[in-house]
Amino acid sequence: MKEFIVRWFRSLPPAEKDMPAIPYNGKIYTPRQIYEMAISNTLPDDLQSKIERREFTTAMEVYRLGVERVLTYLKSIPPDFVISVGGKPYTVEQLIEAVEKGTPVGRAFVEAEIRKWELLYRG
Amino acid sequence: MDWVIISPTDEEDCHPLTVFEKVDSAVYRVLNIHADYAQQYLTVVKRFKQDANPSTVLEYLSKHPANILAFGHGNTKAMGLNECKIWLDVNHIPEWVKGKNVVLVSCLTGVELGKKLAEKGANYYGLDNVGMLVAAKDAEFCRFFYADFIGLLEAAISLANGYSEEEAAKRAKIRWKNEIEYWLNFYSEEEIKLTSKTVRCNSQLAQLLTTCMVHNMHSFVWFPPGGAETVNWGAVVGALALLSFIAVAFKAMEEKRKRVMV
Repeated sequence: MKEFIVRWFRSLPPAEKDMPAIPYNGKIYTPRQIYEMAISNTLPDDLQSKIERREFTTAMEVYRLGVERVLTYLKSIPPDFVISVGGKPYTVEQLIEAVEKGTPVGRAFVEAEIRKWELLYRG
Repeated sequence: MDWVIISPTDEEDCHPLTVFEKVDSAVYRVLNIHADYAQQYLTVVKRFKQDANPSTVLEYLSKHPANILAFGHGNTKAMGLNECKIWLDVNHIPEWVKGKNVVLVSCLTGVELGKKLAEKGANYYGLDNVGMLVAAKDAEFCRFFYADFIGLLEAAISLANGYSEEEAAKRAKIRWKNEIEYWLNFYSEEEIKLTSKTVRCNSQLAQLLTTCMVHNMHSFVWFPPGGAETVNWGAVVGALALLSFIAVAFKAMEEKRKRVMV
């Protein structure tokens, strides 16, 4: 049982291991947190089976997950960089604001993040 | 296979009533790095940069038709160059596009303009959504700054290397996927070059870059020459076979029912 999670964790790319990834009971866990729970035998069985079946979450949870993932890395981007959406450049602060307010640009960015999460976790 | 690269720098201010806004210099700088990368692998007979104005470009191409890799603002119906001026639009597709490959690194042209280009005989690759890009004002040539639209560049490079139109489309997607995988796995091996300094890539920058790449990859479209609507003949034949099977089965059931009634 533990072996599955260990294999799953090791198969993920390094950039992904500390990203919010798995929603469960109102909280979002990183792969590393899941791995540590598995190692210490504290991983709930239903959470393990969700990961095995790749059935993580509802659409509402997915959007919240997308927002949390985007905010996690945007907050650490150096000010040298800007993000262009449709040719219009946004500073990191402007994009964070767009994501938090749910503007069309912010939503487009979150949806792109969700697509990436689906590629990584749903195959 | 001769290519013309059109990568504007947009140093002119735009009139407020133009269709497109002036593109930020950081964005054009990074688009030009994309163009620099592609130029290494294409036989480029002409590269338009500061002189990428519609009149200059159209005049050149009317005399020297070539395959095109163009960067710039786009919408569903048109694409702009320097001075925020339109050079291609759905109502004015030049005849010389027939038989040419046209790769537009530009927002939204895959919605209508790309289809029109294909109807006029061009082989089109582009995006049917807005493009996303990580840029920096003092970006220098490095892998990080030509990754966002790598699939579109790969389409042009594959065609130049003799791959078919369909293979080039497939290779575009594969290149995006491989590049996404690369950045999520090996980001720490990459240096991001800025004029004043070099920044070591970290997991956050890799996440930001790959989100833009995933978005662009999902927006990628290909329309082969002769019309935008590519017919999947396998699916059509399958559907017809299924319909005829249902019809035969229904007829047999009807006959059986009649025999029972008799």
